[in-house]
Amino acid sequence: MNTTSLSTCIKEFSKKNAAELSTQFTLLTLLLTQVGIAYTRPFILSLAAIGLLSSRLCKHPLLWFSLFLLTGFRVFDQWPMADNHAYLLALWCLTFFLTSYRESSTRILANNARILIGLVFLLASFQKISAADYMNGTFFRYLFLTDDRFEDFAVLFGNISYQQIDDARKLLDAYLFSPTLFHGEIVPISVEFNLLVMLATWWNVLDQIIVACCFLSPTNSLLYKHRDFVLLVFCITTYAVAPVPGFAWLLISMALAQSEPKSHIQISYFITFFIVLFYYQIHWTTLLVDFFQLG
Amino acid sequence: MKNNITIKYTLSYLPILLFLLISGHHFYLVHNHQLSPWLGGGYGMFSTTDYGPSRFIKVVTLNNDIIQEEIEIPEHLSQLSKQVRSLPDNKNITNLAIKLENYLAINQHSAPFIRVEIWKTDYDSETLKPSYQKLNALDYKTSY
Repeated sequence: MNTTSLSTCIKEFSKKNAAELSTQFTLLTLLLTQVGIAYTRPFILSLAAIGLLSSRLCKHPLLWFSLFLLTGFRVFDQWPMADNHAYLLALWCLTFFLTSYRESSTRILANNARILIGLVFLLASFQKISAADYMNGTFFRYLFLTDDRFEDFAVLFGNISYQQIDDARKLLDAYLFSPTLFHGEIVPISVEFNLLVMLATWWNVLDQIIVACCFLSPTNSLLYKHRDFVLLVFCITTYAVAPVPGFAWLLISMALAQSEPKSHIQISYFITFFIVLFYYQIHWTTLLVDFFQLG
Repeated sequence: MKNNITIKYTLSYLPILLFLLISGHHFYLVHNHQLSPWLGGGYGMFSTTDYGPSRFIKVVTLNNDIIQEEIEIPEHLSQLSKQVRSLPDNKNITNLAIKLENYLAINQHSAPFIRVEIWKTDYDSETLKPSYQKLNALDYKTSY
């Protein structure tokens, strides 16, 4: 692809309005995340594919009402185990349905997107601050040692080995069977590991507070103007480690609906959407652990 | 006319209203029915160790308040067991107890009572040494 065709692509992308981009990315999110149970998934996937292939049908109220019902059904069917973004996805489909036949739909869609994103981050940061075991580092200390999905990251940056992680898990099990006996120290002694726990704890909560403040600030305030930038930083950093691409794609799809009508912001969201896809498919922490022969 | 405008305006922001209702419901369940803060639409994921792997269920059969035996939850009830660990209210626990009674009956076991206890693990902030706290318990009277 030469420079001319790339700039043509960017121009074509810039011509689309925010609502149109958001619609397409939401449908793409539905296709990539394959939500729902065996009985509803084929319908969700078919509707998402039809919406992506037809520019007329992608704005049709019936398509969005059906997607709202199908994604909402997952929440009821899996109650209370559905992921939090399952609720948000259903509400976002409802937003598309409610705005699909309104004159001022773009503004309403943008307002809903901005406030919903702000509330998600407000709640997420509140839950962290109010939890008894988050701010003191217990949560990340436990997560890095017990969750398979984070062990490569812990080995890469925490200067601990897979053997120490295995030992920690065995000790936790041993305490479960005989809690009064001393079985050994669970947490490996490593300055880097403690630093990693502290950094993860503070970075996550501060990042989320900033995103919440920016999205819920009055329009034209300084914080409000930087909302897209802080959300992009959140997505690029958090989803490099957290294996929840569906949430990232949904946030990006929603953020596009409320983004400033500037092509560089929309293109940044576009690129971030695919960066998350790469994070999901290519386990960079595993590659680096192998490359440096750690663990 | 004015009413119509109000309804249209409210409908436009219905997703936000529903979001607030769902999160209110989440906090109610967390505080009154021990719902795991990770679940229920309150966006408490990655905020606490109080979720699936840190919660466990203990099941025993009872006869005249004396423990007869500990029952291991069978594989086919693992989904229900996850549900009970996530939201250990009396309704969910009773549901699990009924299923366990059927399972015991099929395997020629019976007892007048099935006791189901749901526990959570608290971890020491420095050493992660666990301690255990009972969240809810129920003695279910079987048809034995």
